[in-house]
Amino acid sequence: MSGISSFFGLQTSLRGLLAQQAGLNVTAHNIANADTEGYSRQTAELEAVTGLKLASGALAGGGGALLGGGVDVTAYTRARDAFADLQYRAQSSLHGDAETTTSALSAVEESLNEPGTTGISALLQKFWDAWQAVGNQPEDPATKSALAVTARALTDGIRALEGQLTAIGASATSELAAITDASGPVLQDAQAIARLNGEISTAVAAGRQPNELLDQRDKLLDELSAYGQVTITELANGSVQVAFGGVSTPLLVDDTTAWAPTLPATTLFATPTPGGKIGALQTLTQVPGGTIDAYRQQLDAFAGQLVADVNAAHGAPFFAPGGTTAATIAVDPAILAAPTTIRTTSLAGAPAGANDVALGVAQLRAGAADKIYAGFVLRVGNESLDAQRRETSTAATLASASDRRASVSGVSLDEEMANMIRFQRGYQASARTMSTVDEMLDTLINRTGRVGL
Amino acid sequence: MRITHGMAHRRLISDLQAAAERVDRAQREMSTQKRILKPSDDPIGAQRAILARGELAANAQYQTNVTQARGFMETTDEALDSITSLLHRARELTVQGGNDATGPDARKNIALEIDQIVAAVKMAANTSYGGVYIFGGTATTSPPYDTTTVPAVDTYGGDDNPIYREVGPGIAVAVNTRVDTAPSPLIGSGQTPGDTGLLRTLRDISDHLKNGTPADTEALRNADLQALERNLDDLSAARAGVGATIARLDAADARLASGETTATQLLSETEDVDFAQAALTLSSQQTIYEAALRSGASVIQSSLLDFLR
Repeated sequence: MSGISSFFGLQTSLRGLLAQQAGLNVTAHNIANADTEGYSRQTAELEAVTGLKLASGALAGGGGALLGGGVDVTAYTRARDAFADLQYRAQSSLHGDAETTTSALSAVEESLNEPGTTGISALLQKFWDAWQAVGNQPEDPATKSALAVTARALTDGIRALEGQLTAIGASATSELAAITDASGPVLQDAQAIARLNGEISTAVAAGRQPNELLDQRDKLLDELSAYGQVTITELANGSVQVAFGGVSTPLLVDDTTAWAPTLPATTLFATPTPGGKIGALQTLTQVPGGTIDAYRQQLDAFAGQLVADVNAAHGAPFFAPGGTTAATIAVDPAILAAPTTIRTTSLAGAPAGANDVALGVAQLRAGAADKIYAGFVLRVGNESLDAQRRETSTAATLASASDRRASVSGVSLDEEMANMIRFQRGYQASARTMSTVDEMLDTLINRTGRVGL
Repeated sequence: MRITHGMAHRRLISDLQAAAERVDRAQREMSTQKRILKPSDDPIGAQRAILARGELAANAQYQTNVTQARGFMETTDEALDSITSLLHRARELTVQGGNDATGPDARKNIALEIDQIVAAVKMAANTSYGGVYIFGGTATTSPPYDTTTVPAVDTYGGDDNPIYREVGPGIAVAVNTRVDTAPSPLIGSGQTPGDTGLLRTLRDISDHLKNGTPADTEALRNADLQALERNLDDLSAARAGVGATIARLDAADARLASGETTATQLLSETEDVDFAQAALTLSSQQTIYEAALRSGASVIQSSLLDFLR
């Protein structure tokens, strides 16, 4: 057995010690990052070292050999499943869409106050009741002033609702602008990804595995996917090209952001892009054709019908004839100034007790206007319910996609504890081998030649 | 599937959140007793609730209309009743005045009482209900008969147009009794040509009593008494009409009341919670929530760390 150094065993033990130490370091790193968002657990990849080549004739049979020389860390890898990432980001877009739509439609629902005693439908009932009261006592000026006040409460209510719808639309528009402008999250994320692309390609070129940088980039891509659909193309140098929101120009190529930071949302997304907060906000705010716009048109139709029907039955302007939309509907100023001018009869000479006109107006109750409004509430309810269902189902799918990913990449403390014990024991055993070799050398150095002394 | 701590934690929190949401929902349903708190809870139900509420509001208003119309009719009936009594007294006086045993002075006294009856009839015809002169037609703001001018003017001052009250969708009931409409006016405009109303009859009687010629006495005994009888017949016909209208109002009221019950029931079935079910749901959701808290607390506490030494 010639050709093996007496100190070979020491070297092998040392490699063992270092490898176990590296394993323990990775475990410590994993434990420290157990709760870090976007962190993927890492593993130190170990490989047995073929250390010593023994020439032919070294063995008793005359053959040569390769003698194992311990262990080496070949790489630090991160546990990541690209397919799980893909699924997560697709669901994240859908969920961002549903979540934004739900929150806007809930605001619409809250402003309706239906069904109940404070919404437009209740005001409308009071309005018809007031006409009946005028019909019962057409000669009494008090019923007419009560009618004028009730009518104004109704028009105020309709205009307030219209104002709230406008405000919801405006806040969605400004949210959309805030997302896509130069300081908005989309371009900020894009710039951060571009910077990481640069660092990653440098590291890859130098043969290093930039795990932490990759984690950060994946986290940013996750964030981006909530705003719109993200399509990622891996480039050979380790960086990624990102297409975003269905726009033909990629958001970023390599380490440059391709989008002009000042481009307004309307230019970027000419047609509503499906998925993501941006898609949802566009569907909500588009004029014409957006959800909020459609609601306002329906409210306008209601106001227009009410004004037309009441004025026709009244035979003279009761509502100001110019105000046929929800934003402009108003009781005619002449009526408000002098409620006694409310017409109650079409008879010649207008006898005080005649009420044919008042009864005619009161008979409009439960007519076309009431039905348009009830249909409007039904529509809001249906669309909000649909958005809520989408949110619930996308949240569940997103959670399970997130679980699948965490199942691969997440840090399990139990596992790390077990690893810790494994590396600790490994370290102890390597240390024991080293001291055994040491004792062997001690025997050789200190005891040799002392037979009989 | 490999379970990590972060995952278990996230799942626990989202499950707790969902359980808490269900408890909150059950609690709100319990405290509001409403199943539909916003349209999206049940869009079709919300629409139905809005329409049912409209129906209820309309129904309540129609019931108010019926009450007012009935008051109007009852006041009319009382006025017609007092006019009837006055006419009965007038007939007694006419019979007395037509008797040959009654002397001229006595006839003049009877004529004075007849004039008083005329004034009383006009007062009764000026009856108002809630500030509305019930026999004035649509001219409801001024009394139909002049009771102050001397010498007396008997001309009817109203327009005798029908007044309608709506007691149901599209159902209008005329509530006033017409008093000066051809061919046989009930009270009429006094001694105008062709008028056969009771004022005309009473004024004729008074004139005949005052004149006292044999022809006048003959008229008292025959033509005047016949005219009075006809007026009394007209009065009872008018009162029968009032009674029939009141009966119609009562029927409308009963129909409205049953409509109210139906609409209330529909509204309640649409948007109210079933109390027993809501209570059961709340308590089971609370139990589930507490169980989730308890099991969650014990699961996230333990790890291999607890057992390594």
